[in-house]
Amino acid sequence: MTNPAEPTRAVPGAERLVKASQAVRESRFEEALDLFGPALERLARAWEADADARLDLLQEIHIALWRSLEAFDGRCSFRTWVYRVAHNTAASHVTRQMRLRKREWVGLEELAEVADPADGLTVQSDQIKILYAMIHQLKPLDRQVMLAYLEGLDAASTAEITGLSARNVATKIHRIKHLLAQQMNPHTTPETRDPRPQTHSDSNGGPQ
Amino acid sequence: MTHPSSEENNMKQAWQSQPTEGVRMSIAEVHAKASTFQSKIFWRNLREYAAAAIVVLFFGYRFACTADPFIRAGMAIIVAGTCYLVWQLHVRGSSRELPQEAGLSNSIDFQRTQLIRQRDMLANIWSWYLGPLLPGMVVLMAAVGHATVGRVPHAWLFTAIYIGVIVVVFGAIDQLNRRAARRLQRQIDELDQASR
Repeated sequence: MTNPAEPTRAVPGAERLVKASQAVRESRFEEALDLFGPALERLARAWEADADARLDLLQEIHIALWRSLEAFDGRCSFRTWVYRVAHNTAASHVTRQMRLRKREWVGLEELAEVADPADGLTVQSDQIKILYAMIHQLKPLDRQVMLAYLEGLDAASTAEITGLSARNVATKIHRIKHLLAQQMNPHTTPETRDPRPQTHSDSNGGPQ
Repeated sequence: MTHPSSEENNMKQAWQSQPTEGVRMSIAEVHAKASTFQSKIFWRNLREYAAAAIVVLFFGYRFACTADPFIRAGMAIIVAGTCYLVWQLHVRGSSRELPQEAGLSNSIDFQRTQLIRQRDMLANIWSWYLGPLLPGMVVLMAAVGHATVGRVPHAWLFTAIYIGVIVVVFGAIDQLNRRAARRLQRQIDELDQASR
């Protein structure tokens, strides 16, 4: 009778399969860090302003990625998978932190002037500091779209990662572009600052 | 087709070329860290259960020392309710563990699942938290009142006040949790809206 505590000893083929599957998983993990390691670091910075908590978050993402790769079956691209794991882990992390720190987030449409640049990022340019300061205020979904935009992902990939409709991604990217232009060029005219996408009712409607 | 402005490209380039620290965990470190995380969760759960254990031990001891069957019944219901509560905490505690299927769901589905679990926990607090504790406390208070009638002036009045205070406190806790559940529901609605 097979010893239930050591099932793989009784079936050497199964043991080989387990080892092979483990090797594939390890290879995918290394590949993910090779391809997306720096992007994951930027993502952790964007989700967590505190330096110690940021390292914890990055490690949490690495662990979640490792665990998730057991279930990776190629139904979506590898990049989409890695970003989904990273964003979902980060969103869970900051939601827990928000409860502890009693912070409120805003949406893209409410994000106006940034008062204080991000803390602890003294080696970066002013542009990057402003970006972090903006991102740290955003609600999770808006933050994800902003990060995907800055990482150069197209709208379809962003929709696949976030679950937003293509129309919503397009609207949010439109707002992001306006916000970024407003922050980086504060002397632009008020007309060009409006972050809302132009609609028929917008163009016809007067002050209420 | 619109082409991204050079300003946009500069911004993306600045973002993507910012210096990183090259943090990279080895497989061995991942395994070690995962064990540490699991260990932390274990000890955190243990601390939560320790409070319940104190309640069970205290009322269990008092149960053994008390002859009044009415009071003993109240204590037994409290112990049973506390055990049920601990079991519920154990069953529902999985939400605090690391996400295992984080790659299978897009962000909206993932967040939605988490929010729904939290909302249901808060909205149904009577079924798993307040409900199991209230009967034992009410029975115990009534039993103590019954045992002191004739020895303490206005014993029933005091008993009624104690029970009233407990019911009001439990009602307030319920209201606070319902409010939190409504806040979570608004977040769920926002996610539903965004996915359409």
